[in-house]
Amino acid sequence: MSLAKSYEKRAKKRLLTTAFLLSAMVALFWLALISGSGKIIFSDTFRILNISTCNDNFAMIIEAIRAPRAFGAILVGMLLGLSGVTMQGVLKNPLASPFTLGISQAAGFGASLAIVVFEPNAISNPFMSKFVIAFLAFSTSILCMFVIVWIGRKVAMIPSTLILSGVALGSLFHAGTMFLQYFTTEINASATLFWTFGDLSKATYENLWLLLLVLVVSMVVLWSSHWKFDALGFGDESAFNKGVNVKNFRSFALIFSALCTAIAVAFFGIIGFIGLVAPHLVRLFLGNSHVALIPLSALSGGVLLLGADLLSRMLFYPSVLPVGILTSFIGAPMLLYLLASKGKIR
Amino acid sequence: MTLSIKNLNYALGKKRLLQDISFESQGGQIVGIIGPNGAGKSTLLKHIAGFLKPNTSNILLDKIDLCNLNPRALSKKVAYLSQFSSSVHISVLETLELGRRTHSGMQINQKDKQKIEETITHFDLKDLLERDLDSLSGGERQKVLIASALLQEPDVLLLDEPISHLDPKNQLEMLQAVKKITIEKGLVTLIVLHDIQHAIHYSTMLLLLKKGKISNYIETGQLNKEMLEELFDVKTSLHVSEGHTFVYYGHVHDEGHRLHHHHTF
Repeated sequence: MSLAKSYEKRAKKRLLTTAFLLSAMVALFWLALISGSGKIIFSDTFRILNISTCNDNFAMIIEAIRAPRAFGAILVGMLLGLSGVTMQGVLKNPLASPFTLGISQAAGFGASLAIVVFEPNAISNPFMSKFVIAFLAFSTSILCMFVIVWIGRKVAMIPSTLILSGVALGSLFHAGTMFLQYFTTEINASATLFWTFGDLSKATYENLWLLLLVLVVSMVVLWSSHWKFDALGFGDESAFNKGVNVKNFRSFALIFSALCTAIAVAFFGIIGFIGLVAPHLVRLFLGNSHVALIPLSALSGGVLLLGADLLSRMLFYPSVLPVGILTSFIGAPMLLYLLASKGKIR
Repeated sequence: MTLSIKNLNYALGKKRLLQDISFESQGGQIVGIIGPNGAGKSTLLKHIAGFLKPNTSNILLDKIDLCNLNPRALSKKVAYLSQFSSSVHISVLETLELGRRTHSGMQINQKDKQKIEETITHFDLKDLLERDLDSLSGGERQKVLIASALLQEPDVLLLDEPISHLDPKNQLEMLQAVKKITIEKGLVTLIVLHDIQHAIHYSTMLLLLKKGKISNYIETGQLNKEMLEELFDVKTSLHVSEGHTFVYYGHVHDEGHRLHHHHTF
């Protein structure tokens, strides 16, 4: 096998996987647009193609409800997938995810704090009230990651210490949330609980632009360091000798990873398992080389969440299940299946 | 090319792991580092590789102080193969590319590809390119890791027990390859070995390290039995046969032993 041939073969394999994921995403996006009232209406395809000539009602449903929701699913899924692959890569741990590091619990605490202490329902401007919740959720999750990195830098950013600090902080924030829930009114307590059910109906074009901005910046920054993730796989000392400033790179990657999760969770609540499962799915096909793994984990995160959201809209119609519940329902058995059958999770 | 280390000291808590280490080595020379467990052999290599920063010493490569270089610049001067390697699921080709990244960054260009191609030919890796690194045998894996390290185009090559897990044939091939490349490229090669036999046969110089101190730094031919007895605290004898030196440890001739070995003396 010559070098050129190996390059060609590898490029082909990566291209095929990308093409598969992209077409799955397009197909699911199309299904998301044409499905409503619990069923898929294929004839709507033609109405969407000529949306400008359609009656106002239909155009409104597509443009203001279904499209932002589908875009939201793609963006949130991609952010979570990117965040997951980054954490797994820099912590050299296949179980690392926004949950294991306490980021999601921190966001939950921030949102609860906003709901209980600042009572955004009392704020007359609905945009402001949502913003207060999102802002506090975002800030606490970023704070959580900074504390982890701060502790980590005292011990040369050893992965196991970072993960354990994350677990500890996660319990701490969770306890804080329960404390708030216990002492507040029932209405507030249920509001905090409902906030944690990740829900894509909260998508608006304003928050989607913000998500897109964070996704693009983090993707460029993390992807351009792809080889540093590969180097870390060989251990910190070997990575250092390949030219990676391990301590700085690990801090920097974790903060970008937290940023991705924090922005998604702040606006949409907690959506589990996408960040954990998406990278593992790609690994099964393409191995652990991060030049392909990073973008494709994001892509497969988007596909997974878009599919899950479609299901959550259809399964119990007329109830629409918050997608966060469904992702855990599907994600957990899926992970168990992969673990047991392939033995290739790494 | 001269690597010179002057007054290197390192302490962990109250334990002094390295004491006044000073020595020089030239390009094209292999320095075999030998000594008992815990003598500081790996610690010494880690200082030269830059993971451990000395507070009061100079590690100079010609005129450059290696302690002042950032990781990226250092990785172009010094390549290091650790004693332990973790399990990674990337292909051989990707492992080779990784060795080139310090020069190439995120995008491998034509010149890098050419270097990789040369290395593949040199180490005869063309049949392994698409294999997962973890699916290789110990010998193949070590060969790939050394090839990847050499793609950094270093001036100094540090090998920490590179042959401990290999069978005799692979041990010889590996050391043969290291010797060849050291001479060809004029590298300063430092290699920690537990097998004194190999150390004697493949090194130009021997660095004997005990309790963090250099007990001897000599040309390989000057090694004698007293030095080894002092170093390892075991009875030692050296035998020369057909120009090769062989080492025996703890060779006491009691009755049972004689029967066992069919000795004639």
